[in-house]
Amino acid sequence: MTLPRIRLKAPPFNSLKARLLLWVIVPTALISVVDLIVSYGNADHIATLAQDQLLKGASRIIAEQLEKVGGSYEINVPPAAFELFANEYHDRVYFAVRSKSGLLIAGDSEVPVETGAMRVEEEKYGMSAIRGEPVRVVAYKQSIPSTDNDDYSVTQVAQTLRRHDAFRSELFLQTMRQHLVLLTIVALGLVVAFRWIVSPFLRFGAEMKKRQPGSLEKFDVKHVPTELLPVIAAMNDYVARLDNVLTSYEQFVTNTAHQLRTSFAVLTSQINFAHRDERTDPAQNEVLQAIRKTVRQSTRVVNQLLVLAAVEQNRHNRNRDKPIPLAGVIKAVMEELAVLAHQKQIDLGIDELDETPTVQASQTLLRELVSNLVDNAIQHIEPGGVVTVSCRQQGKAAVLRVVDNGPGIPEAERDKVFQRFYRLDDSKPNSSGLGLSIVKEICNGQGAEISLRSPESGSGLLAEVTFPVAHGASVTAS
Amino acid sequence: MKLLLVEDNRELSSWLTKLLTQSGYTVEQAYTGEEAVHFLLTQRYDAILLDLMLPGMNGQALLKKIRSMPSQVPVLIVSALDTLGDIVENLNLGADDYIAKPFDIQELEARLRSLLRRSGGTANPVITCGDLAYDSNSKIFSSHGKDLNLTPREHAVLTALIRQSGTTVSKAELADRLCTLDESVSPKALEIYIVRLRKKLENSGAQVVTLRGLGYMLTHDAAAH
Repeated sequence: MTLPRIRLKAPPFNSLKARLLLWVIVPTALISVVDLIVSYGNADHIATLAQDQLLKGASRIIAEQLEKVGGSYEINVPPAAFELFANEYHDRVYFAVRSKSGLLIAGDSEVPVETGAMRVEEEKYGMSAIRGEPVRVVAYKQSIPSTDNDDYSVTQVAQTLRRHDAFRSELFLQTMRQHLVLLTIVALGLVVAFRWIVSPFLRFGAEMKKRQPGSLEKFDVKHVPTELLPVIAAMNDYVARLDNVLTSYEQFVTNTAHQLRTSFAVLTSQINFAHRDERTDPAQNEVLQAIRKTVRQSTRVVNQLLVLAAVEQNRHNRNRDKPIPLAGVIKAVMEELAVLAHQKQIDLGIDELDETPTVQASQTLLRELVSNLVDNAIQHIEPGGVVTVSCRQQGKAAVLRVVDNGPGIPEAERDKVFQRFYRLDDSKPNSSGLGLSIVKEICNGQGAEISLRSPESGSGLLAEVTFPVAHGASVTAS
Repeated sequence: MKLLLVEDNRELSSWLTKLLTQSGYTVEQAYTGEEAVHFLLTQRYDAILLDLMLPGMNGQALLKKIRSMPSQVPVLIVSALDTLGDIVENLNLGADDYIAKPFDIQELEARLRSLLRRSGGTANPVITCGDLAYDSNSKIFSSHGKDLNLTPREHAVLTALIRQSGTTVSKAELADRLCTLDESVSPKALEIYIVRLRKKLENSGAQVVTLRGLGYMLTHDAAAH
């Protein structure tokens, strides 16, 4: 049996996995983004600090070289001041030393004049642009000794931002890599954890699927994760309640059948009484016989319904089944139906009766199965017909065959005849339409297969039931 | 013959009593198990007809009680529950025979007669099938009170069949029975005896039925369902 596949007509995030990912990955990613923004700021700050440190060093070295001899300035800028800036990014470095009056003593005039107020011995950092490229500029105000007290010079050093930017990028990329690794670990962990979490549910589902229809066994709560326990407990509770319902339903069927049979018994004894009365005239006797026949047919239907109820009951009590020799059951059924066959002038017999096969089944139901098949053949065949039963071992299976030379069943109808109350021929009042459905349901309950086909001889019907052979049955050579 | 009918359905009880009284039985009706016990302590019966589903003490409990009493009165179970399991269980509890509701009075009376005959001991060892009767003392078959005129071979075949009536007797086994009378019997010859027997059994209610491949079986019309 295949369950209909439920496919995505579901609302978004109907999957537990999607929900879990949504509520773990999305917040984690948001935190990451915020953290990356902050990290970017930090990286920029660190890179700027590092650059400022260099600029400051360079500005001090240059400033120290300034001397005022007489009224003129002398400066000798050492190469060491610029070696600090040597790097693979080829940053441009500019410097300018200006006097208190704004006169350029040394360096590039492109370096913009520092205009803000500064105290002596103080650095001031700022951004600017030289030749269209942004630069970081430090300005250092230094007093010039041995002259009037408030004479000073301003030394400026500017550097382009290439290394600064590269350093910042490196810092930022490193943080980003860390975040990516973390997110990947979280996602992988989630997938693994999710599989682990879901596996008991999947196992539970598989166990449910494997169950025999009608099985009312409780589920084992051993090795079940705590969170799944309420589900299993609810299921077991449901099974218990269903069991109660079925038991009371079976009780109802049994009671009803008992009531009906008792009523039929009263009716039969009344008919018997009227029939015995000598004053009853022949015409009335005919009516009485007809009523008696109807009562018999009704009894048959009641009995068949009881068998169907027993099949249902047997489904959840299969442990009571025993290995039963098939040949013995066939013989008993044929003896039971011999008179009926004789009255209908039907040649009932066997052609092969292997004594070895046994079937794991309920004795009553196995007998009903064989009986219904043979009875069905006898009912649907004209006087003079032949019904032949056989049973043999075929590999590991026991095979029962009932062949008749009656009208058979058209191929298109062969599946339908197993439906309850389905009648091939409404003109046959003896048929309740339950016989073959009983056979089918018993087969289903016992794990047996039934097939209907035309016998090799052409006309008629061949019904074949293949039983799995009972476990532990020993096949003895005779 | 005095019968105790234990049946809680008063209507059924009353109609069965009418029918059985017509046939010459004396019937006493008990509607509950307790009532039945009371009757059994004070009266002697030739047979008990027992319904299984009774209010209060049920049929099975009553059956146990009856079997714990010294009397060996035969018990015929009359029940509306007739799965094979129930039948076996009740026969194990000590019931002598079993008939399922609804039944025809002829069937009930036939069962009752054979039950009474069996309990009568060896004094009247008559086996019946339909209206055919076989007295195993005098070895005479009769139908409707008239003795049947059978040849020794027909007699041997019919004896084998009636001793196992309701079950099949294989051709080999029947041939074996005849062998003791004279030399071997061919299957063809056996068939001829069966054909003759069938003629002689007409109107006796009993008949020899063939189950191809299995053998012959003596049975009666009421055995048809």
